[in-house]
Amino acid sequence: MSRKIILLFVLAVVACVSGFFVWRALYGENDQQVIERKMGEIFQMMGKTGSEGFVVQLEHARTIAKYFDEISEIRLPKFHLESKMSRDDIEKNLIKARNWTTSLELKMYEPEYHFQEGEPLRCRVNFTGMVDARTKSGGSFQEGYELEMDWVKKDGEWLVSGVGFTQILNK
Amino acid sequence: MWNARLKKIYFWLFKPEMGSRSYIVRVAVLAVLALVFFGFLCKPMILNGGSMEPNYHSGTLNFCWTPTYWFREPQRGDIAVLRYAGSRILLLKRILALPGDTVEFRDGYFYLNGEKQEEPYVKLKRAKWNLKPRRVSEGHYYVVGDNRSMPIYQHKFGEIRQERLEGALLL
Repeated sequence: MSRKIILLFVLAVVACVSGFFVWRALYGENDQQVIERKMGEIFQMMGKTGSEGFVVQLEHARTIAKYFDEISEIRLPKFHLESKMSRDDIEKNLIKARNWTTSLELKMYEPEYHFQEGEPLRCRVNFTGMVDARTKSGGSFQEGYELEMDWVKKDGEWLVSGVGFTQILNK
Repeated sequence: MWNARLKKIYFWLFKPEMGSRSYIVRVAVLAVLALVFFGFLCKPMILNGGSMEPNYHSGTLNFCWTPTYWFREPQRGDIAVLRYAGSRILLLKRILALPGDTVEFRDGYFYLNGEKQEEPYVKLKRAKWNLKPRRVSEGHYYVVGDNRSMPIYQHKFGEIRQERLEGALLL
């Protein structure tokens, strides 16, 4: 009797585990959805609506920096950011940017995903970003940019490996 | 014959007493037509930013007429609507030069193929823009905003690929 129960229990566990994997394969997030979700999270976290204390600032910056690879290539010359940066550098620059503004809203429109086969798996996302910021000096800043965000899959996790402007107008 | 057919369609759509079709069908047809017209042919847009001041004001409504460049090539003087990634965020600029033209800025004045241009549409005081002569690449157009009062580095202009021209401004 007890053997039967154990067998049934084992079968139930096996069915649950395999069911989970089948469900995940059929309905779980694919790579594009993972990147899309992470981009949404980054953009949401980068925004701010009012003044915030240093601890909150640090926490936000640290969380966002975790989405980046150990070394990422930042190509944003308009904001005087054009170099390879570690997560610490990204954290420092995010704090600086948050300090400069009283409110900051970032929106992403119409992302296009371009996956590159190979090891590791990479993806470049082209999208239009709108920045709406109010600076501490009282100025406001609203502008659209075409951006590209590079992603790399390391140990099963998608990380940002680069961010830059796409130059569509060449002086 | 075509006139009579168009009249018939018009009456069917707009004069309920003429047709035997139900009101819902007419509304549905009108909705689809409006979607196609305003979604693909005549895109409404709210201007944002001052790069075309004082000729086109920020905050005003206008339309992008996409069929403009289906039947003719872009011309100098056209107010072109340019797109970033996707087609939700658009830029408004004036086409100043065609592929193969030589462009230059000297003390705020635009030179086309070595000749100084009068540009009556530039109504605000010109900042002293200077840009060395350059040739517009094949398949590209040179676009600049009408507002040249800001420093050159603050104004988005330059040559752009023809595929980026979404259409022309309607009003």
